[in-house]
Amino acid sequence: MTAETLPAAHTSTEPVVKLEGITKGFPDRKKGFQRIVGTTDVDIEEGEFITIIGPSGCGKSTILKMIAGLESVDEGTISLAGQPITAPSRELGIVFQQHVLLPWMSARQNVLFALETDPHKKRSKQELESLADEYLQLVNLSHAADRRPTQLSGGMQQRVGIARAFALEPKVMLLDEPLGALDALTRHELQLQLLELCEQQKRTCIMVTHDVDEALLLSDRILVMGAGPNAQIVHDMKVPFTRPRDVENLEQDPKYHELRSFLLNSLTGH
Amino acid sequence: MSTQTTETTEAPDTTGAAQQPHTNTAPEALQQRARAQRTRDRIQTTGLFVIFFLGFIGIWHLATVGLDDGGLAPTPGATWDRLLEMLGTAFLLDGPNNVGIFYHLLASIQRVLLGFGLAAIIAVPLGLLLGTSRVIHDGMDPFIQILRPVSPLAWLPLGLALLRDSQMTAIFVIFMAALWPILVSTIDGVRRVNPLFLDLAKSLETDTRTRVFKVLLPATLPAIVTGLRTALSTAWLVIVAAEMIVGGRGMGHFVWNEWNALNTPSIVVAIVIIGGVGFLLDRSIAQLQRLVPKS
Repeated sequence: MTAETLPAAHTSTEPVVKLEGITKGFPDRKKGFQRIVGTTDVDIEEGEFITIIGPSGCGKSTILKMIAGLESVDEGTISLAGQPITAPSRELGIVFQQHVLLPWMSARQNVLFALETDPHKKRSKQELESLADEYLQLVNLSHAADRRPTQLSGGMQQRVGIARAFALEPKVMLLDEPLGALDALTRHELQLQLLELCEQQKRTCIMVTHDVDEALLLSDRILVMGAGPNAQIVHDMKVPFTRPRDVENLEQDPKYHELRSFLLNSLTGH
Repeated sequence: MSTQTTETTEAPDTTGAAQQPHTNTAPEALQQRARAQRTRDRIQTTGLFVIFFLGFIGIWHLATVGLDDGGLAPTPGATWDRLLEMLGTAFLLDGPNNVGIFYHLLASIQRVLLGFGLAAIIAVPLGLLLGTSRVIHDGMDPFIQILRPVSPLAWLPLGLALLRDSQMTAIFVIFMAALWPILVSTIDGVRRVNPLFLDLAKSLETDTRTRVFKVLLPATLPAIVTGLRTALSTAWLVIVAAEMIVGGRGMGHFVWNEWNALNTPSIVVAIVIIGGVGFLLDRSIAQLQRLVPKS
């Protein structure tokens, strides 16, 4: 890793997202308040791609929903650029696990809908349309922009969802197992596309996945969750590979296999 | 002769340049076989229908002709004559007791559409509200559960007493018949809207108006249309019974009047008309259902 290939150093020292000892739980009649998931303090820097990985049911998606403001935080605080997150915001663009495209609108209208509903910025229809087209172009969907979601394949539907979230140009992208519902081939194809998109857009991304290769390919940093109940972050790992990344080079790197088995072992509890 | 030969030699040159495009079209023989199969199926269904129809008329004829019941049982022949007579005088409008079948039908359709429309105007917004708010729903639910199983006709005397108008009462009864299917279906539809749609709307910081009109309502539309369809068929079922009691004009009133005149063939004709119109009403909403994209 040489100095030239490192991404530009962040000038601000203030983290974009700060998790401070957050927990989520539920009231239990016999045992009182029961924690289901929690984290120690985590600072997420601007431009960083961070992945939360963990066994199913450990609550990693819950953490993401709390950051998104869609779930309340029971203890601790989450802040975005110094401000506590209490409600969903357009500064937090979400890519859901299933495509969440409104079925009565075309792919383009779905992206446009997200742009038009902005209560903060008033932009001309023309400006919004070219923005929507630009982001659909980025995920190579210009040819299918006028199709309804039911006329798109699973991978294409998810690409529209990704384009919509990027088009919001949010401070932070939240990706909740964005490729989890896809078949292996499409999944691999979209991982590469997502890699290219993230390296080009340089947005702060927080992704949840249970796919070790996906995590290593895309992330700068991986948080490994232990098993539930009351799951915690057990490892906070830097991913040292230079960008832009290339799958073939990556797979030949002995370090990649070392990290991969480390992650697999910590996920399966060995 | 000479011109013909030049033409035939030229032809391959012009078409040969364009390559045969790769298509999914099956060979002509296969398509022909599929078409033949469809034609055979159609002939069979039509044939069976004709056989059933003739059989039905035959049994009806045998069962009613020469019956010693004072001519009460409608025979196919008498019914046919009556049908032609009723169609001939369909548009007759000669005093309150001499009204053509068209005006009876029109009166019934008007009442049904009015009562149904009023019910839709109230039930759809109420359903959206009750489907969204668990608390309001749970407070209202006992009313819905108790009132829903009541036959709409039970409201009729109350309507007459309070409204003191037979026309208004009939519309009120139809309203009560149509209200519940729309309300219940809308509530159910709202509850089955993908919760992620609402998460998306929240994450976009949309205002309540956008959330209701651009997300919730379109997503619930298929369920609403299903409710409207059930409501309209129920309303059409109820109107005949209601009109037998409130009188005036209408298919129900006509049927009851013909019974009082012991004119049973007219009743058979009326039954066929009521069935046919009910079918058309249902079809028209089914068309609406097709236009609404499924969510």
